[in-house]
Parts: sequence; structure tokens; C-alpha cells
Amino acid sequence: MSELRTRRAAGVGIEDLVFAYEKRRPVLRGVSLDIRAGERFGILGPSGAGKSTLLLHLNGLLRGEGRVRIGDVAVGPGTLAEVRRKVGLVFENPDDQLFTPTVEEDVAFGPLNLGLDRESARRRVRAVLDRVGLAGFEGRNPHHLSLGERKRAALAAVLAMEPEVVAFDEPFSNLNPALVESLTRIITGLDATVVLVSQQILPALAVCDRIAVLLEGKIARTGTPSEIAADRDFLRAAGLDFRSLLEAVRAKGIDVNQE
Amino acid sequence: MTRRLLAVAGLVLAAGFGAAAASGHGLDVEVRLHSPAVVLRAAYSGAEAVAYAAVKIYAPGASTVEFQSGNADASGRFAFVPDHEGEWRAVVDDELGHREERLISIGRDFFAAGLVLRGWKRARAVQSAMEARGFDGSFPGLRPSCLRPRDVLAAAAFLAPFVAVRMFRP
Repeated sequence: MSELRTRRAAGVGIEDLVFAYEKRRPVLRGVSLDIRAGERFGILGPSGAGKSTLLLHLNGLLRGEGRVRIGDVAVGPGTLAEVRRKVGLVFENPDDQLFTPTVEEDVAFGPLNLGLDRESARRRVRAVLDRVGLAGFEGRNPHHLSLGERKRAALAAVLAMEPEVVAFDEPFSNLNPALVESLTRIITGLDATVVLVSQQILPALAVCDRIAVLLEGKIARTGTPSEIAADRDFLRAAGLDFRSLLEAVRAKGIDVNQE
Repeated sequence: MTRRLLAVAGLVLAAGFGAAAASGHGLDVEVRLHSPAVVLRAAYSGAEAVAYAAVKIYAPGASTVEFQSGNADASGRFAFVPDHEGEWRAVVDDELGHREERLISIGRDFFAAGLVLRGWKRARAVQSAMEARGFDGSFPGLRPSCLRPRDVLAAAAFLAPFVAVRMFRP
């Protein structure tokens, strides 16, 4: 699989973001983050912490109080078209994203919305499907593919827009270890800025340059994967302790380090 | 012997007081239909939640084998998802001498509401994903539109007799 290339990468700035679906029950309570251009940034946290809600603010699908900036463009009602060209959002459930009768038409939907002519869109579809390992799937019905293939088709649909920021919502959920490994390689190969939210800490540690942990709508900690992984008490409190599972496996006498 | 008798009498009295205290306020079960789920809330009259009350749910026509059983949460709430219409029965027991039964009528409209809700949620999700990819209301496709002028003419010719009959019938 060749390395994925996007045109350029943009930084992401979030300042004092507050958002509530219902009054008096804020989901995000003053989130501030500064994500550098080209960085692979993970946002971890338990279910209900506000991770997906935060992600939906990056391309203006939700708008809370505070400021969100993509590169030098502030996300707001007047900049949505520009922001959505810059930010590609890969949803957790690919079935929410794939809606046309063929993979080719689905992947072409974004580029055609950007104003590309049909022939250029087709070329881009072929290139991007090849890059995610789905060459030859153009005529297939997306809903007849396996979950792993649908996830890659949904990713291809986003990459076909050549975004500067690729935001992933729970990319590793429901995938077997081989597919997780394959996806981590694809994500590491992107030269766009990557923002991924996940409950699965191990793949995030493998992929990300920096990680923030979101708890109850607030950033509880930010650090490198090594710094985050080293604080076991904190991970345990955040429901992200991955070592306890390894210990349970070891306790059965299974050598997880065996080649 | 007298001491043992006193102890037993004490226990009986204590149990009686406990039961009297518990039965001093009856058990209410509030039923709310939140398609596709039914939510029960058990409370003593006066609104004190019956935490962890034992709940048994019986499907229509079933009297012995429960469809679902378990305990309410700390707020006295319990939910189940009925899978067909009919009279469902919920039995709530605080295991302190209070027991309440409720019949819950589930009609076809309950399932229709759930279907509409699920459809609406999915439509919202798909729309968000489309907007995230620059959707502005138009559907640009890879293939040119198949509708040609002669198709429109053929459709008009087909419909014309029906329109004529509708407009000029005696």
C-alpha cells in the first residue's frame, strides 16, 4: 500500500469550547487544545466524556460557545464551505457515511461537491481506493462489504477530498487486530493533521504524537503517549488502564511477549 | 426458656415494626413509553425512589416464565424493550413487603413510533455525514442525468389520457 498524500496540513485551535445538548447539562465544559499542523493527536476518554461531540465542532456540524480555528480560518456560519474542504470527518459507523449504490459514486460525492469534473473525480476515486486497499471495488455496493471494507471505503470518501485535517471518530471500534494494525498504518501514512478520538488506548498510543484525555467534558491531561501510558493511577481513574487486561492474560500463564 | 421466648417475641415485634414502617407508604409504579423502550419508575408514595427493587416482566399470555427480570437502579428505574404488541405485565417488589403489578398496553403505534424515531436518527446521521462532505442540497453524480427531453415527452403522453379523463369526464 503506497503512502497516502494529502495536499497540506493545517493546525487546529480550540479555545474555551462549551457545548450542551440540553440546558444545564454541558457536555463540553471549557475545552482548549492547540494541535499543530501535521501532528497526529489523540483524544481519549470513556464513553460519554464528550469526545465525539468535540469532533463534530471541527467542521461546524455543531457550534458551541468558544472558538474553533482550522489553520487561519475561524469555524463559523460564514466559513462552513471552506472549513469542510479543510476538515474530513470519518464517522464511527461507516453506514452513516456511505449512502449511494456503488463505492465509486460514494467516494466521488465529496470531490464532485468540491467542483471537480467527472473525469477528475473518477481519477481521484481510483487513486484513493488503491491507497486504502480497495482497488477494484468501484462497482460494489458499499452495504455488501464487510465492516473493515466499509470503514476503509468511508475513509477513502474523506481522503478523496484531500483534506488538511482528517478527524476520526472511534476508528478502531469493532475491528479485529489485523484490521486495527492495517488502519494504524494508513493513519500513520497520512501527511494531513490527524485528530482521532477513541476509547481504545493501545492503537492510539501506537499512532499518536500527543494525546489528551477528556473526562466529563474537560481536558484532564495532555502529554506524549509515553507520559500518558506511564501514569497508571490516572489511566485507571479514567477507565483507560490497558495493563490490567494484559495482567489477566499473564495470570493465566500466557506469555504475551512470546514471538 | 423464658429468655428464648423473649428473644423470639422481640424478633417478631421488630419484624412487625419493619413491615409496618415499609407498609406505611405504598409502592407506586410509574410507566412511561419511550419507544422502543418502556421505562418503569418505582417510588413509595411521597416520591422516595425504591432503589434496586426486584422487577419481573411478563410478555402477553405468559404467566410463569418471565420475559425479563432484574433490579431497578438506585433511582428506582427499570427499562425493557417489548418485542410484540399486547398486554405486558410488570411486577415490582421491594422485598420488604411491597409488591405492585402493572399491565402495560403495547399497541402497533408504539412500534411505528420506534421505527420513525430510528429512521429519523439515521437520516440525521447520514445528513451530517453528507454535509461534512460539502453537501449543499444538490446531488452531483458521476453519470450525466438519464432524463432526456424525449423521456419527458413520453411520460407526458402517457399521463395525458388520465388527466383528460379526470378533467373532462361527464
